[in-house]
Amino acid sequence: MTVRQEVAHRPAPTATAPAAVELDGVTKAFGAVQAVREVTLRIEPGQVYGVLGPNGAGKTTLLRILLGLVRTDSGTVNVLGRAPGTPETLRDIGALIESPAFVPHLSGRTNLRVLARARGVADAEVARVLRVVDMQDAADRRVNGYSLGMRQRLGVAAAMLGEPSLLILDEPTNGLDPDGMASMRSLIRDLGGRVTVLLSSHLLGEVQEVCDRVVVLDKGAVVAEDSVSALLGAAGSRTVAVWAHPMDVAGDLLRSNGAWTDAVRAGGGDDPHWRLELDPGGVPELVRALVEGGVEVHEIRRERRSLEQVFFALTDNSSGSTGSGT
Amino acid sequence: MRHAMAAEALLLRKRLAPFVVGGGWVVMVVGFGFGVPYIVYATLDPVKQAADRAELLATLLPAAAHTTAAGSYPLFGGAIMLILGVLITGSEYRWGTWPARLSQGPGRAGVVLAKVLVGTAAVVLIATAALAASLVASIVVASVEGRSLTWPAASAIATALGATVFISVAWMSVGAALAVIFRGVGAALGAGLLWTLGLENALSGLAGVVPALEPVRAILLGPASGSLVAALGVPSLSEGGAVGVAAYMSAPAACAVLSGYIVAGVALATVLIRRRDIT
Repeated sequence: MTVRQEVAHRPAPTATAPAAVELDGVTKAFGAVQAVREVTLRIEPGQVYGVLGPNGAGKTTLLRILLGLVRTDSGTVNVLGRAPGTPETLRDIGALIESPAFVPHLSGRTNLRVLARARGVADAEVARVLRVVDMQDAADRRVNGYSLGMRQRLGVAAAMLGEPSLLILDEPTNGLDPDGMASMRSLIRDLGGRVTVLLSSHLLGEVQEVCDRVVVLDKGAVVAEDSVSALLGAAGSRTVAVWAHPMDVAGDLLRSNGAWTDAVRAGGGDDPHWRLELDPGGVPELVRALVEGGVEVHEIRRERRSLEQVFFALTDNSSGSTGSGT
Repeated sequence: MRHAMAAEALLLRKRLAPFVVGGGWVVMVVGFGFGVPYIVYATLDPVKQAADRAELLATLLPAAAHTTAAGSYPLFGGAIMLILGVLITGSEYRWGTWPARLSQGPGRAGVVLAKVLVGTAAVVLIATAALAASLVASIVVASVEGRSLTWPAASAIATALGATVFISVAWMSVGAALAVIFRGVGAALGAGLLWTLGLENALSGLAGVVPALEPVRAILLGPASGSLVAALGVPSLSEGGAVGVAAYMSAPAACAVLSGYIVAGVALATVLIRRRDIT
């Protein structure tokens, strides 16, 4: 794939550029259903920004608001320094919203040509984006014969027409095979820094891999918004795993100390260890207590939680549910 | 607007629907305007029904080809053009392509207007093709019957073409609006055809016996179409002419009603597309 060469000529945004996307107190209801509640966000130019949330969290509504397809009930929206949905704004945005829809009996190339003409870009641009998503060979086949993954790639190609400065991608790897997913992630990573990418995905590992910053929505409201590393750090910094010998003696020592009564045995028979919640400053005291109790400490490792664990913790906590994915 | 027109023109050119609808209409005009009447003509008794035969043959010869073709529009042509209008806007709902179409740059009103304008261009081509096919059919009839080729005046042909395009655009605009109102093809077609072939005919017929309904008939699309075609000199059904042709109103009044439907249809579709959330 020639992704890097194809996208590398767009200059990086300057540090003084205005926010790519700004939302302030945005609210939207569909009848009695409150889809988006008081959402305030700022996305800097060149960021790869993840939008996470369970089904019905308001992710797609939020993306539609940015395109002007859905109007807000209250709050202000600024996209690329302009109002959403105006012709000037839309010409700078490429979007793939939900499952890509095309005229089924027309070829992929013709579908892209229709969209290219609406954008006012030349047919040569169609050939370029087809190369980017590696769809040249299937471009002249009818879309109704495409697999889900091929439609998805065509949708991403459509979003890239005219080299927009803001790409909105809703589940871009949906239906792709592992190779296709890897290529798509690589493409998004390459675009980052030059193009602002707003990525909604259910694949949390994917978001963790490619996004600089993430917002987590639940029931239409923002429950967390931070850099990926900060979210992972904040959520996973207290869990510590302890490998020691003998295990039983270590367990007795830990449980007899009032500060570590939450210690639980983990790892099964192959990799037995103790897990407990511990502040960063507590490690020396833990080691000292174990060694003084006659236990050999083989390893202490602070566990780094995945974005998936963070996501479940955030969304379950916010909804008041007792269930947890972790 | 220019970009929206270019996109819409490419889309309509690549679609099968306009060719099926247009081609089907040309076949219907030739079949029901010339084929069936000629069969009837051939079965009439040359001696006992000589007057009827002569009258019928006169409508099948080149001198009357343009009015015979126009006579097909008030009822069946209108329904066909309504289907075309429904397909032009309604298919976007069926395919789920409105979000993509409306996030490329052209404004929503521009996209709707582009659809209607490109649809109008298609209607001009369809009406021209139907007229050309009618002329060819009339030449065949004249040749078979050994009659001389007497052509209608160019201005008469142009007037008939203009009237049929005008009628077609009005029906197409209504179809386009119905598809937006119902957010799809199926319900819009059902409602449109029920109105066209059922309610309009019922109201129009009842107005003949219930004078209170005459003002209602005066604003209906079918009677306005029939009146405009009647103004071209096409005989009404009672005079041996086509179904739906009758001088219910003057030509200017008919033009005003048709214009009203065009403006109302386009405005309604535009306002709804602009106001609604695209989900």
